[in-house]
Parts: sequence; structure tokens; C-alpha cells
Amino acid sequence: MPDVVGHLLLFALTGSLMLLIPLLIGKLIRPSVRSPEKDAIYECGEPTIGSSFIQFDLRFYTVALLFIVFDVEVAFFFPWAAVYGTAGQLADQRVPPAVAAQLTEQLASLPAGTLKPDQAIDPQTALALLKTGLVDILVFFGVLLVGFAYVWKRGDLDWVRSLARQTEHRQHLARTPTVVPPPEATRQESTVA
Amino acid sequence: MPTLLNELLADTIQRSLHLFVPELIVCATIVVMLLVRVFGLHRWLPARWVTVFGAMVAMAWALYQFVGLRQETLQPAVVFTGMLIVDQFTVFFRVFLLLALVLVTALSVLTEVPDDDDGADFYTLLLGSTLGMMLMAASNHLLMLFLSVEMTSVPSYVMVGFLKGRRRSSEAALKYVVYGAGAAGIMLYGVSLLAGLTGTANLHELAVRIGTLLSAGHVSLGDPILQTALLGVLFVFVGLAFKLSVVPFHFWCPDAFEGAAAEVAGFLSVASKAGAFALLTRFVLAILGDYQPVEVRHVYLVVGIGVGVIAAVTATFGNLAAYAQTNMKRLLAYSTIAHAGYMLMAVAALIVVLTGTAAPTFDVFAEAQRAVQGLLYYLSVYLFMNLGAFAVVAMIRNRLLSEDIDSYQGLAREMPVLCVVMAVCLFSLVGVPPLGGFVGKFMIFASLFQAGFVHWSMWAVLVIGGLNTLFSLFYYVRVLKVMFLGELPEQRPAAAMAASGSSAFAVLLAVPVLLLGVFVHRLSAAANEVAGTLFR
Repeated sequence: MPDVVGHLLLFALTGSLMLLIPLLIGKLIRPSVRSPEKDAIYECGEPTIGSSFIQFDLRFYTVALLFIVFDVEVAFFFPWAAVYGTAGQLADQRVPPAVAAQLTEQLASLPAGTLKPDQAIDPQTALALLKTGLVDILVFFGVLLVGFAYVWKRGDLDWVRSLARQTEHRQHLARTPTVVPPPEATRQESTVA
Repeated sequence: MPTLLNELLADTIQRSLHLFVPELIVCATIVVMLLVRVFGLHRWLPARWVTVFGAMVAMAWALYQFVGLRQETLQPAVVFTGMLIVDQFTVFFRVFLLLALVLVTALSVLTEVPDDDDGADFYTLLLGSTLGMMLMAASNHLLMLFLSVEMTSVPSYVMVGFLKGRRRSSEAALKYVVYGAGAAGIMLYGVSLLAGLTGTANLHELAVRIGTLLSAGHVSLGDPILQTALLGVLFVFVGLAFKLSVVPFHFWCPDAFEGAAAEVAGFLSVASKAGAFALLTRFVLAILGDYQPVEVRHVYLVVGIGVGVIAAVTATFGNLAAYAQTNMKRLLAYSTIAHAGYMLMAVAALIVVLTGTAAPTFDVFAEAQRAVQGLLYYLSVYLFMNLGAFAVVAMIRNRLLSEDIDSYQGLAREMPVLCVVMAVCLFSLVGVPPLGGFVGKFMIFASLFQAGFVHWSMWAVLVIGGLNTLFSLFYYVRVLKVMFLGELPEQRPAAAMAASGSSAFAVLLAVPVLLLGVFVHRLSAAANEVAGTLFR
């Protein structure tokens, strides 16, 4: 225990020192020329425009939503991949029993050295696990993809135009000399455009 | 190790999936519906028909399971390594919920709430929410308890806000979400307290573990273990009370129902309540267990009396608040709150009967069984009478474009069938004798009376329940008075004629309400048998 505390203390101390020393050196050797530009808010080197308290464009929520969907999916993939990988190794006939025991411990989250070589999962069982795992993930991923395809097809992922641009777009459509299109066609055209 | 793995595989593939078929059919229906839309086939095969077909197939399978369990060709089992339990109680609710799904889908086809373009969205939500409710009834694990409640709630939030571009609707959905998120958080805290205290999340083991923990020392309210357990139970109750819209967690209900389409409100008031009551019954029985030391039983008796008091307050509040309403959906929302109160009385009777120490002649389990039987019967009648009332509201809305009670003036002359159906449903909601609502209420009041022998406070609850029934008569009849005795106004806004089947559908909902009031035996025997499986 004191060992860990010592490490932490040392780490914190070194971290603080490494931060403080450059700041101190800078303070000692830099020239002091004050100007209003230096106190200005920094915005990627550009002149700042207005306040930072602005309304955020709600349209970004599609991006956020997509991110969540795929992020959660990856989170579900990870434990599956761990099990699937180990099971794949275990299904290999050539793996020696001692290694197989180690892999079984990994798979069942047991402490190392608790299993004897003859307690390891045999290749047939591992193969069954492998197949079940594959079917599992295919169903999971398939259902997810169906949902994704549906949302895509409906045009819910399209970048929503601002109101001004929508009007512009509509006027543009109105100017185009065509036969009066049936409502269904207009809708599809607007999702494509 | 290999045997364990093999058993796991066998448990999943050979036993569990087989008993899980109705839920799987619902899942498959969702996927098929989305695929139909993706490939552009929805013009030939609209989402509503896919939903109706999928729900019917699932219901047929659930019925087959129900019959199988009854004739013992199918064995009840704990499936998916103890996550779910499939017994007659579960299957009863599967049939119930899928029937509600079929009826609501049929209603929304008739009243054309989601248009063809949004159909797949709406029915996906409807099916997903039903799936959550089916899992609620089958929960055997604290984690499933939480997950199933969330699985029901999340689609419900979206369905409430489904009428896009309407301020009220969005406001209702937002209120529902915020309130639901809070309740879910509290419930999760309760779940973590219980699981942390007992070291298990399996509902079957909870009571035994708590009993073991407590029997080590002298039980008193100052005991931190008992305090933690009670806090956990209380917090889980909060989450369920939110779903049941029980006072003081009812605020969302009138707003959500007013903002949502009448079809959605009907679905939420019937199916979501049924699922939550199934879960509450399971949870209560899991906490009480078969045997507890006398001191612990005294504590639970207090919990039971508390539930009874809350039930009485809920029924009274719902009925009093319904008086002042001018919007029909709000009135029905408050009536839903009141009915949640009546049904909660059955749960209170159940707890009191099971925990009390009464005379030796008192058959505890038979009385407990009767309390659950009353609850099941009431829910079954409630499905038809409440959905019937909401269906009529939806159909009248399509004609008048209004849900205000004042606009119903003299409607009986224009739409006699719908108004008669409404009258049947409302009288049944009151509990007037020849109708189904009376039988349900009678059963619940009878078990309250029996529970009164254990503790007198149940008689007080019974009296309050009886008085409430009387109060409720006035505001229901006010609606009928406007409909039947009011003057037909000169000018009606021109609106599309109702779909041809709508009157027939309304009658279809009203007929069971009548039949369940007259031919009581079949359903009550089935309900009794289903309730009996909980006490084996």
C-alpha cells in the first residue's frame, strides 16, 4: 500500500514540476510588451465575431444520433470480440492443453492458474460457441443495419436545409418549367436533391 | 467448464427460445416492416397490415402456449439463465397485451392516425413498446425489471409526441420524458440497493436473502439492513408508481394524454398499466416470499397499509380532479388515475393478506389468489371499456375535429351507435351492475373486505373505494348528458366522414364489456387459475 501511495505522490509531484518549470522559465526570460491584441479572445487566429453565447444549430443532432448508434454498437461488439477471439483460438486442435487451460481461464474470467489442463474447453465445444457467437452477432448487426437502412431510405439523415434555403429551393422548383408533378414525385425529388 | 458451456447453450437454444417465440415474432414483425419500407414495397403492403398480421400470429402462438400450460403439455420454466419466467401468469399477459396491440392497430387503421408515410415509424414504436410490456410481465430479475420498464417507456415518449408540429404534443412528450427519466433513475437506485444488500438480483431469491440477513439479529426499524431493504423497495415502487400514474407520481398523465393522439392515450392507459401491474405483482410477491419472521411481516404489513392508503388517495384524487375537466381526453386521463387507484387496492389487499397474522381459519393463499384474480379480471374488463371510450373519442375527433366535452352537444342524434358505445363504456367504468366493470370492482372490493379481517384499515380503504364509485358517477354522466340531452348545434364544421367500419369496431369493443358482466364464470375461472400459479 505505501508503495502505491509513494508512486502516486511521485507522479503528482513530477507532473506539477514539469508544468511549473517551463512557466517559470518563460516568466523569467520573455520580454514584457503589452498590447490589447494579446488580451483578446483567441479564435483559431481569426478575428472574433460576436459573443460565444450563440444558439447552436439543432441540425447537428443527426450527426450526434448517428454517433450514438454506432458508438453503442461498438461497445456491444467489444465483449463479443473478446469471447469470440478466445473461442476461436480454443477451437484450434493444435493448441497445447496448457495454453488451452490459460485461454479458458481468460474466457471465464477466472484467476490465472486455477484450472488444470484437462479442465480446458475442448475444441468441439469451442467450435459450438464460435458458431453460436457468429450467429448472435450477425442477427444483432443485421437488425441494426435494417434500422439504419430504413432511416437512410426515409431521408432522415439528409442535411436539413435552413428555412431560407428551403424557400429558395422551392422557388427554384416552381420556376422549372415542368408538367405539374404528382405529390409523390415532388417528395422524392426533394429528398434526392 | 465444458458442461457449463453446453448447459448454457442448451438452456438458450433448446428451452428458452422455444418459450420466447411470441416475443421473437414481435421482433421479426418490426424487422420485416422496416425491410418492406426499405425496398419500397409499402405501397402494396402497408405497415399496418404487417403489424396486424404479426400481432395476430404472435397472439395465436401465445394462446397456444396458454392452452398448453393449462393442459400441462407445456411446462412453466425459468428461461435465459433466470432472467425471465414463463408461466401461466406471463402467458396470460402476453395474450392480453397482444390483444390490446391488435385492437389499437385496428383502431389506428380506422381513424388513420399515422399516414402511409409515417406508418412504419409509428407501428415500430407500438410493437417495441408492447415487447417491453411483455417482458415486464415475464421479469424474474431486477435487471429485467428495470430494462423492461425502460423498453416500454422510451417508445411511449416518442408515441406521445408523434403528432409532429403540434405544440401541445411536443410539450406532453417532453414532460413525460423528464418525469420518466427521473423515475427511472430512482428505480435504478432502488434496484442497486436491493441487489447490493442481498448479493443477488434474482427475484426468486430476494425474500429468502433478506430474511436470512434479518434473522441474524433482533428486527427493529432502527436496523440498517431493514432500512436499506425498505428504501430499495420504496424506490422500486416509485418507478412502478410512475408507470401506473399513482398519486403523487401522476402529474405527467393528464398532460401526456391530452397531447397524445387518443389512440396512443388509449394504448398507454390500458396496456402500459397492465404490464406495470403484472410487474408490481411479481415484485411484491418476490419481496414477501413464502415465509418471513413475524417482526418482518409486521413491517411489510405497514408497507401494505401504506399501499392501501396511496390507492385510496389516488382513486379519490383522480375522481375529484376529473370533475373540472372540459377536455374529454383529460377527463379520461384522470379517470385512468382513479382506476389505477382501484386496481392498486387489490395489490394492497394482497400484501396485507400475505403478511398478516389472522385467525387460523383464514386461508391466506386462497385469499391472496382471490386478490390477484380480481386484479386480472378488472384489467381484462378495463382493456375493453377504456379502449372503447378512447376509440369513441378518436372517432368523434375525426368528425368534429374537437375533443372538448362542450362540442359533443346533441351528438347522439348524429352518431347514435358511437354514443351508445360511449355510454356502455362509461357506465362500466363507474361499475354499474350488468356491466363488466361492476364484476371487476366487486371482486377487488370483496378481497379488500377479506383483508379487513387482517387489518381494519382495509375496511376504511373499502369504504373510500365505495364512495369514490359513487362520486365518479357524476362526471361520467355529465358527458353522457351533453351527448344525449344537449341541443344539436346549427353549424357543424364539415369534416371527412368516418371510415365505414368504425361503428362496427366500437360495438366490437362494447360487446365484451356487456358479456363480461353477465357471463362471469369463464374468465374468472381462468383468472383464478392464472393467479393460482403464483402461489404454488
